[in-house]
Amino acid sequence: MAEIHDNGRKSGKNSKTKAAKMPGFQPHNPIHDMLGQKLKAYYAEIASEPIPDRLTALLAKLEAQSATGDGLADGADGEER
Amino acid sequence: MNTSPEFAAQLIAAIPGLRAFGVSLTAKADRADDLVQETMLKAWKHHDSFEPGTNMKAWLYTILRNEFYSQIRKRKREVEDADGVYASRVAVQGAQLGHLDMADMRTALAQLPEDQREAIILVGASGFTYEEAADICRVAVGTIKSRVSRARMRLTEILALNPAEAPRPEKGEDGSSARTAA
Repeated sequence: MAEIHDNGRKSGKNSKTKAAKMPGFQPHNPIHDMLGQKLKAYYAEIASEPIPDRLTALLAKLEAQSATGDGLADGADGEER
Repeated sequence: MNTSPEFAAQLIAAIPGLRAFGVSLTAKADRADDLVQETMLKAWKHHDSFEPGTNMKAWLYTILRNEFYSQIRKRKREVEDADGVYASRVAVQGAQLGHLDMADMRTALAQLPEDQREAIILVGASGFTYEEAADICRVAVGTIKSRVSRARMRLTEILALNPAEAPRPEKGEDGSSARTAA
């Protein structure tokens, strides 16, 4: 079983100005919002590109191999240069 | 052992995000696709090591990231070359995508140190929590937080983001809600 690390339990929790350290308590920062929007838009733009044929083809190949119980054949990465 | 249809479905669903992560790391679409291809092969081959019910997206991003760094180690010379002409390649790719904002962001990201770039992409764009990003990058949560914070400062500088141009908060009908946290 993986142990859960509780970040809040470390030393220094007691004395410091607690409220100011609380996650989500940061004063609203419009610049961060702006940057966040731009980053997400950038990422979404790339993610919205159609999946290249070679990747869909690879997946089909993997699924076919899996269905026939072949496991992973060496030829699966045929496009390697 | 056979892979489940569910595994395949989750893998397909993750591909667009993995490509975006790959492009963010490499700034090159074809190299990103190589990374995604390797990630798919590795994920498929090692699907037994994925624990169902855990975060498959984070697992896949970890594989892609490991692949990226192992390729860098393998192609040291090529990477040195790539670093030198990074910004110009980035500009070309951005133009190809046809959005000025895209080109700006790519160029800006390219100027960040690698560790800051991946941190801000994972947390600021891919939607991972600090904890998940820390797991993916195998560093402490505090390290990710400070990388993200430094990346934000650098990007704000590079992109010359101006508070005056910031969009008004959407819920602020009376213009005052942005201050409610204070």
